[in-house]
Amino acid sequence: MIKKIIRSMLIYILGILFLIPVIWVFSLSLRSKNDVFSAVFFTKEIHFENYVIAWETFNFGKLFLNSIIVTFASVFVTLVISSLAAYAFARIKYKTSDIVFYIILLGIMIPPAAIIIPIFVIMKNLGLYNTHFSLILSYIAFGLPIAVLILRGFFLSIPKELIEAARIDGSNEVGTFFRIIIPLSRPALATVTIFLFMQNWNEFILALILLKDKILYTLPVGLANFVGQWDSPWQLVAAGVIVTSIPVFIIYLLIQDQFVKGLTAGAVKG
Amino acid sequence: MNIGPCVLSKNYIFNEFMLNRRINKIGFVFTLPSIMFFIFFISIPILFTIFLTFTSWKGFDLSQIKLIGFANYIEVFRDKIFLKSFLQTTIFVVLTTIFLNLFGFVGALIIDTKIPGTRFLKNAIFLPVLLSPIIIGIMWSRMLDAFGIINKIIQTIGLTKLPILFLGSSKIALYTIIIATLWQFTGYDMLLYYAGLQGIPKELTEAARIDGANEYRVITRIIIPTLSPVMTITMLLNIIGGFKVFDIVYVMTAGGPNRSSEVLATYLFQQAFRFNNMGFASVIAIVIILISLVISIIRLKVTNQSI
Repeated sequence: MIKKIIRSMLIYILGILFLIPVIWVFSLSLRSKNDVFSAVFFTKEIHFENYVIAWETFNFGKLFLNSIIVTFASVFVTLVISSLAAYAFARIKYKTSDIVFYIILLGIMIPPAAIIIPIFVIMKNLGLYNTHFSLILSYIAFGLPIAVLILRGFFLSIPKELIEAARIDGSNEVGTFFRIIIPLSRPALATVTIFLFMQNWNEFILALILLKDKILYTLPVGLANFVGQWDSPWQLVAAGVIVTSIPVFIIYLLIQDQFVKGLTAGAVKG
Repeated sequence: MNIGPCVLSKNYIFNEFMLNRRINKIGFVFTLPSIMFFIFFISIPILFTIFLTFTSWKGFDLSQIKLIGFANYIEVFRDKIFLKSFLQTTIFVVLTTIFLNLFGFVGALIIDTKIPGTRFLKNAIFLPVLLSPIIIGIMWSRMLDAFGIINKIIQTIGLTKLPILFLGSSKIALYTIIIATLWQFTGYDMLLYYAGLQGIPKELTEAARIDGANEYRVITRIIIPTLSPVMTITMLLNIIGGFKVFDIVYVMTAGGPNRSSEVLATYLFQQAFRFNNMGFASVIAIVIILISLVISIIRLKVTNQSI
């Protein structure tokens, strides 16, 4: 019994040790200007107003809005076109569809960092440099391969008879897809949505090279930018770190299992 | 009464044929948007990168691209900084892969005991996975600063008088970034291993224990062999992720001091967007692509065999 309690305590201690960076940053975000460098953890005075000041100084409202626009638009379009393609690859095959599928899969292997130069050149020549469109378009392209892979796998598990029955009943392919396939595929779509959401919400290098104006910055670039200014006050940066982390953490707590599935979707067999 | 199709067989086959053709066309239409995105933003960029490796270009005016043959390749492979960043990327990959797997595996074993508190531990270890590498980088830069908590603790214990410059010293900057990366992604590997552990029948380990096997033998003889496919996939994912590392390095040190934490992606970024050497940078890009390609092919082969 005592052994059990000790073990349990050790596990809690380990967990708290692991969380020290987070706890420390939280304590930092509540300190006064003078305590920033002197205190170790929490101080007696607690300055919640740091959050208000940080929100205004770093223009967080705008950063959040930009991130939301870019992430939601890219995730939505990726879902639509990847599910259409995945359905065709699974159930309305044409002569070359298998080859096309495998070629698109190759995209999983290409890290964005490796093709930033041509993406930059293309966006410049399309006149999309320094717009959210450039980000949305490239996020769609980079999200597609894995989305197609996961969704195709799921569509293959839907009984063929169901689709054939619908065809015989006179439903056309588009109707079958939207009325039968999509409602059945909610779990797979949720997994893909979370995976894409996390990938695009955190994406950094493309946002860094494709956006020039600060008012267009997404959260990661915005954060990196004001840390780059060496005089930016620590307590405000810390408040910013906490504020940006909270939304994702809340979503995680609400739908933990789905979330883990989505995040580890990259580990599905390729 | 089911004679319809027999009577109308000719017509039926014809209709079936037309239906299939129409369906095929629709299949193509369904895939078309994905194909277009893939061509414009993945295929063309890759081809353009390959083309750029043979050119000298400052990145502004497309008409000023000059073909220079293999000069960039020769320059890159003779470049000391490239070789340094290649070596440092490899160190990063090797160390993160080894320790992420080790910590992830041990973490999964602890959580699998289901002792009270393991749920909390699981969430604590997984929390950093949810954060962006930018945030992790900012947090750790502050923690490791001369005024940060780590130096406070070290000084209080009395290990050193002067603060240690974790990110300002060319000897340890890279390893500091590695530690921050380990903190971020241990939870990821842990969950993959934990999922793998759930697949091992409890009867198997119980039976071994009853037969007198100690924990060590249960782990080395039963758990590790059963988890080896999971281990392979996890390691390959870590390796692929490691070779393209950029965000956290960019935020914590930007490759410094003195290039001691320069990795392939940060060097590529610098050559392309600070020095405007597009040809040179493209060779680095090709190196990154080739590495990910090779590892991904290994991964494909392995996963097809083991799952």
